[in-house]
Amino acid sequence: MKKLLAVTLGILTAIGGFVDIGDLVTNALVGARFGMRLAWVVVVGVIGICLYAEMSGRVVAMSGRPVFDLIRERLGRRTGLFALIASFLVTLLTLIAEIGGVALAFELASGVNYLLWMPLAAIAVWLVIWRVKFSHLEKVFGLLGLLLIVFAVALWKLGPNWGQLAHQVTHPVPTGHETWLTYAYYAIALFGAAMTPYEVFFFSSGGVEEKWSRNDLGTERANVYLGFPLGGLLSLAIAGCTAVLYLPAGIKVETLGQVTLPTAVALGKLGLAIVLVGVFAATFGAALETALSCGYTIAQYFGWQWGKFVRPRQASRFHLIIVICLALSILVLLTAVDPVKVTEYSVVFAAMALPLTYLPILIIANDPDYMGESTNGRVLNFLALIYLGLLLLASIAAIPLMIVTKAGQ
Amino acid sequence: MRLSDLLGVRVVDARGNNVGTVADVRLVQDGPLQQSKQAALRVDGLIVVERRVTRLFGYERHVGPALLRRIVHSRLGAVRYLPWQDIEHLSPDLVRSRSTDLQPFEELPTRLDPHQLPSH
Amino acid sequence: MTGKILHAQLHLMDRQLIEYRSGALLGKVDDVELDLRSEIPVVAALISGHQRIPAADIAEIDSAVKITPYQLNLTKGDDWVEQHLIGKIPGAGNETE
Repeated sequence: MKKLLAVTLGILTAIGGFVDIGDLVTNALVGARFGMRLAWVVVVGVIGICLYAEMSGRVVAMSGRPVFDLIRERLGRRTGLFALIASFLVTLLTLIAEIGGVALAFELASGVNYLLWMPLAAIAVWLVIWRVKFSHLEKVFGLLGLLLIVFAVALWKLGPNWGQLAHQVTHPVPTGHETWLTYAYYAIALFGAAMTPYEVFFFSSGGVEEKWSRNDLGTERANVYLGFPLGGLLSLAIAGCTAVLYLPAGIKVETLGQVTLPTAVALGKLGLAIVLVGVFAATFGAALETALSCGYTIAQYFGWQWGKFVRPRQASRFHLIIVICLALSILVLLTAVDPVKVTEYSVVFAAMALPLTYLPILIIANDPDYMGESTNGRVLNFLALIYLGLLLLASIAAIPLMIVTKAGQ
Repeated sequence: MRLSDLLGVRVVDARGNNVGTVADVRLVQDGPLQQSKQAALRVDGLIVVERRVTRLFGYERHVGPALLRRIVHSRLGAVRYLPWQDIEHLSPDLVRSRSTDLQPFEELPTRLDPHQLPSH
Repeated sequence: MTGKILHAQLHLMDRQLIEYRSGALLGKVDDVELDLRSEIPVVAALISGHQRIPAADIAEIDSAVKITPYQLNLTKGDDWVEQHLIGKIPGAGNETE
């Protein structure tokens, strides 16, 4: 149990990458349209984020420097500012969507319109950041988010034709009306979500909050190698459920209600209740992750005091950024924009931010000034370079694909 | 003089031939003792790259991954070292060397000695 | 003295400035002032925003630059926000629970 509690940072970080509100809907939508034919992308994404999150965590343990310090240091003020703007916008758009997501979960549970829940959700997120210790926050929301494992139970209970699912996994091509373009668009969306930059911002800054030192390399690795594969597993389970339930009937997934329905079908009211708590925890956890990451990135770029390891008044600008971002979220959501749609546009900024985020991590994980003896090995560098190439490819293709497919339609 | 004004300045050799631009300044902590009882950071010389690039990403030293280093180096061209005592003229527009033949930076001693690198 | 070797841009520019004793984060190194006119050319100061940090204030250089700024206040921005905004919210001075 103690071991499980030590890896909640990794779990909470992974929730933001794999099962936040945008991903909940995307995973379900992909399952309903492509079956498990895009499952390989999730696996590729899990390996990629494991490689780079481990490097960023190791840099923190060895040198105490979080990811945005590295970006500013190796890319300089100008390119660093460009990376800051792009990654901050991804993070802010996701935060806006998560606040909406928390409110949507409450709407599903209560029947009261999400617009009424939304300001409460934003205030609750702020209160938790203002008053709750980092280690408590990651434990509560990391562990509660694991309730989404109910999707895996639901999939098993639905009694699918496993042979057919396996066939889809091993035949990764679009079928039916789907074209290679929409297939590629969703492949990049899933890959980009798995490696979304705020995961490494949050994970590495969380390492500083937890005061990792070189003695914590084991904890750091356990967080990575348990947290992210768990996130990937949840994401696959969701796609599996909708592949079984919606794909044969040709139903398209557009709402959060449709995402949660398979658990109700398989497990009745109890399943629905559990999944609603899970969705609430995952979106709330992702809201905490992105709200904190908004503060982390800006404060680290400028060198301001940040973090929950000091009292709020000592990191006043950091807390001010978070308050402003949450206020902005309320204002944007009040325009009645669809919270799920908001994350679609974040792909554009993610495309610009991805290579600029991961290149400095790779360079510094090889620098003995920072790492002493714990620099990357050859195999790790080889794999990391392949992923850097993939990220570059995805970032070049993302925007044209989004335009050509009209965001996957 | 500010470091940012020195980076990117054109460097020529004694005959006036272009050598490249200033990419970094090598410091050695053996200067005069300061009030803090620490030796000052003495300017030992300039790292000069053939093409006009202002960021070396730390790849003037031998750190990995090899492929990235090779890509960066192919953009830099030759990396040379201009020791401080060989500088004849230095201004925000031009640096002129006394010698006609600049030493490649990689041949410098202590480069590979990890104990010389700042560690923690 | 050890004769430690540093590259000015690589090891100083854009590094985090940290208060040597308290560990407080103070800003970034935006530029380095070199004194090239004296007999032995040296690093004279670090520049952070509009502030000039004399080289004598540098205590340690590793993955960050640790300084003991005797006569400088590098946290004016944080102080202003603290006094006028964040400090007025209840619980600003408390440890989190």
